[in-house]
Amino acid sequence: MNPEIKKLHKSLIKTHQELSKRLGRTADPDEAEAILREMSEVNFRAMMAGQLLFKQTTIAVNEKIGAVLKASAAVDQSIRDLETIRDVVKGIGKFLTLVDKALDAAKLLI
Amino acid sequence: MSILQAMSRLRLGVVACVLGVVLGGCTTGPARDAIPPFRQGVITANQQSQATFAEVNAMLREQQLDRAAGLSTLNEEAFVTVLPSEDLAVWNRAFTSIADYAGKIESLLAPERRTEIQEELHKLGADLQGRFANATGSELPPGVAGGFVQLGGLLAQMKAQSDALAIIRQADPSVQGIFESMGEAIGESPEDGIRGTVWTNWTQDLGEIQLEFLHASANQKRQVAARYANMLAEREAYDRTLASLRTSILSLGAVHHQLAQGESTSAAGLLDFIESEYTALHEEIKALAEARKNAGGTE
Repeated sequence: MNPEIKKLHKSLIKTHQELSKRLGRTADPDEAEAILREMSEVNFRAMMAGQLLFKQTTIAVNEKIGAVLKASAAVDQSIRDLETIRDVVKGIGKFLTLVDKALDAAKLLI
Repeated sequence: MSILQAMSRLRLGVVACVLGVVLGGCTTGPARDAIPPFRQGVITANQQSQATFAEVNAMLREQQLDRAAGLSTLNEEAFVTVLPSEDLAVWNRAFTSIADYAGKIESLLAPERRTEIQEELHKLGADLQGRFANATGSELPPGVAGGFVQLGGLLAQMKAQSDALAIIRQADPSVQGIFESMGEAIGESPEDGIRGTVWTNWTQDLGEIQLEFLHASANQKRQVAARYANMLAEREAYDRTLASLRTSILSLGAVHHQLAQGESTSAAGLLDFIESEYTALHEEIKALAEARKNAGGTE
């Protein structure tokens, strides 16, 4: 993550908090309105910086999805391996029948 | 060497070959019981984040409308989608991929895998027993066929566990990376990430009430103050919802890491707690928003 955007986002939030404190101290409606307008502009920029931050963390998430998909494929392979073992075991009986037949044929030739 | 001896050796060779293929290792596997709650936790976190982020976007849009109303001109630059749909789609894909991967691990470790192989070994054992009797005129010693079936099943289970553990270990850094990035995006405190943006937005709304208070008559001030207090509680509850979502996501990372270590994990209890906390917070937010509306505030 770009630390500059994170710093900017934090600094905008801090500025907004300071303005909010000022707003809480003033009893003058005109001054309060001016502070509130300024807060609104800072808030909007905090949202823009927040969007950039979210995009950056999402890029980091996206980069790692490939490894999860690879792990999924590895599990598929392992499941196929076990199915192959099951099929091999299943085929041994048939194979032995063939061996028996071959041996019977060999006995006739001896 | 007689034909019978040759046959016996061949059969033993085949049996040894099968056992060799089945034998994948003797490692302890991941805690199988923890996989279904982990997978469910991922699905829940996905639903919670999509729902929460849609609400966040709607709330931030309201604030932008308030700001736009005070501008001298109106254009696209007056609006920003803080959590864009294309980025939310990436989050959804990440959660879905992890849930899918966990589902496959669950399937790999399912007892049926062992049973299927045992059934085939059982048939093979009966077949071998028959052949042995035909060839030698005598029976296999009692328990040999049953033991063979049990051993084969055990070896199949060991291979599944060994494979699962190896795959989970390999995927762990990336899974951790995904959950950590998500946690970072949400923010560690109300001054960070989405939490920071949302908190600031609530503070802006509170500012509107503070200004209203300055204009209010003596009779109205109490009502305005009540709305202000109510909104402070809403801001707090909203932040706790985001913090809860973050905890939930980071807990999923911790559970996956425990699985990768082959450690037993109390995933089910932990994830249940997180889900119920999130639901309770949402109920609290709804009640607070309703109270604000009834007190004459905006939605």
